[in-house]
Amino acid sequence: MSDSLTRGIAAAQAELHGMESRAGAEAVAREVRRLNARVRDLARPVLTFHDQPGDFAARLLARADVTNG
Amino acid sequence: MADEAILALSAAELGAAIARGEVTSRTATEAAIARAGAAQPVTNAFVELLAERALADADARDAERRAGRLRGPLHGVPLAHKDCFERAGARMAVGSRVMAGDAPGTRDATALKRLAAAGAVDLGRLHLNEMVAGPTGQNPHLGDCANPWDAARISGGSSSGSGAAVASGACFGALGSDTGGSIRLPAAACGLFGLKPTWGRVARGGCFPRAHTLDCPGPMARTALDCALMLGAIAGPEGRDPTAVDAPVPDYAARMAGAAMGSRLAVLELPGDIHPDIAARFDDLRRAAGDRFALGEPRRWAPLADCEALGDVISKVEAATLHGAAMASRPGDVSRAVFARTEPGLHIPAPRYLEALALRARMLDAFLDEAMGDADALLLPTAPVPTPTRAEADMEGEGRVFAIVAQLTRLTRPFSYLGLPVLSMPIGLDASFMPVGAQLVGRPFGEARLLGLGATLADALEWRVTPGLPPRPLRRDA
Repeated sequence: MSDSLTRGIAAAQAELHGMESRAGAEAVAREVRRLNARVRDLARPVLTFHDQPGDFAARLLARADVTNG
Repeated sequence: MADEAILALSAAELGAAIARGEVTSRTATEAAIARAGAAQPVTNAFVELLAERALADADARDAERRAGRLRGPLHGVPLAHKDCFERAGARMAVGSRVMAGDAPGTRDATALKRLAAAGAVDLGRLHLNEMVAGPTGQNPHLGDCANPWDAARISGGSSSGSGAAVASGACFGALGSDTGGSIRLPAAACGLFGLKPTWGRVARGGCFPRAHTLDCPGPMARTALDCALMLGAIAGPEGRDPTAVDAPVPDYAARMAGAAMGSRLAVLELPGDIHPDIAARFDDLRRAAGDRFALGEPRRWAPLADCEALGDVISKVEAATLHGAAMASRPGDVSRAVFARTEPGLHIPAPRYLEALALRARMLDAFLDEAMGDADALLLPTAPVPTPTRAEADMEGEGRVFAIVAQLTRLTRPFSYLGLPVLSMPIGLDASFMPVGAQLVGRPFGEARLLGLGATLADALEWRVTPGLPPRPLRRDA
């Protein structure tokens, strides 16, 4: 348990979620760090206050294959 | 007609034979039940065979036919379904110890209700990975679901029983559910067609979730036409699932040939290795596609790897929300693999989850504009490696789960995030005489086109299989 994120995850797992880790806090921290960085770096340059989760279903309909009409 | 001949029919062929009075639903259902019983020691595909009620339903469908009432092309056809769909009067354990003691259901899932209304007979509950999570068909609580083509190999998952039961001839089609490849991977491993519909195409009422925002129930069958018949029965919105999209539901079976005509295709090339056996069969598909359709230049789209990560965040956070209570209160009843895969979802910051959701429409637009361009469908393999043995794929080994899941699902997960329809179709056999699958990725609600393309390309590749243990292909490529 060498870094602060690993220590934080170990603490949060017990105190916030009420369970012991079975994957190990280090492995969980690696995965969280990877996914967090990936999404953060994708989102921050492009997202505006206009973007919202509900846009997606509407976009599916708007971009429908012509053979479904 | 002899049992063996009945079981060799497709769902569409059987439905037509029942309609003509050449076969009764009872005869077909009894044949399927007998095959399911014979295959069970090999495949372990069924969690529970609901034989008595299936036979009662078959008798009712036969009585209707005698009275001149046919509900449609699936009238009297025996199907079976992944044990993640609620059934009135039957248990739904979702492959878990946590839910194994739950009381029997009080109502049918929307998709099952619709298949029953279309006349199909339900043979029972099929094997799956614990909590619909995992690409291997291995379940520490139920035991492995083995592949009918080679019982030493995995069936694929998480719709493992659906793949094994249809390929072995224990039923004529099955529902699965797909959150990151759970229909497509077992379809590929078992030599079947498996359709992940557009997200929202099929209402999810009563379907146990892996991740609400990604889940897509869909059909698995031995032909594209059978998938079309099943999709036509289950598609469309319904009140229990407010996220189901209100798009037109065409007669897929009638429309598929016309929808495919004149389609423009392209190969989608992804970074990373593809095993030579998979590449060889995919080259066969590429040639067949070029012979019958307009095949454009290969496409590359680097952000596809981002879609995998974005979908992973959604899947992990939603799974942690669904299973956190059981993980805290009954940790010993949750497998190491599910527990380990779910834990990161407890710790991903909430803004990352919402960013992943908010980016989804932009990523869809970008994929359609930049990767698909003028193409109507893109082609790529379903899995980058041959179907592994059960020992190679065992996710319960310490520290193994992330690597195994990542390897098997690398080519399937991005399209779950994009919400696009994807048909996995069989394209031949590898050097071990195991089926190889390819994905056809379409535009939103392009299911009719994909099914038509799949049917045409399967004909071109001379793919026709008699179900059994093992299934017998018309042609052996390897």
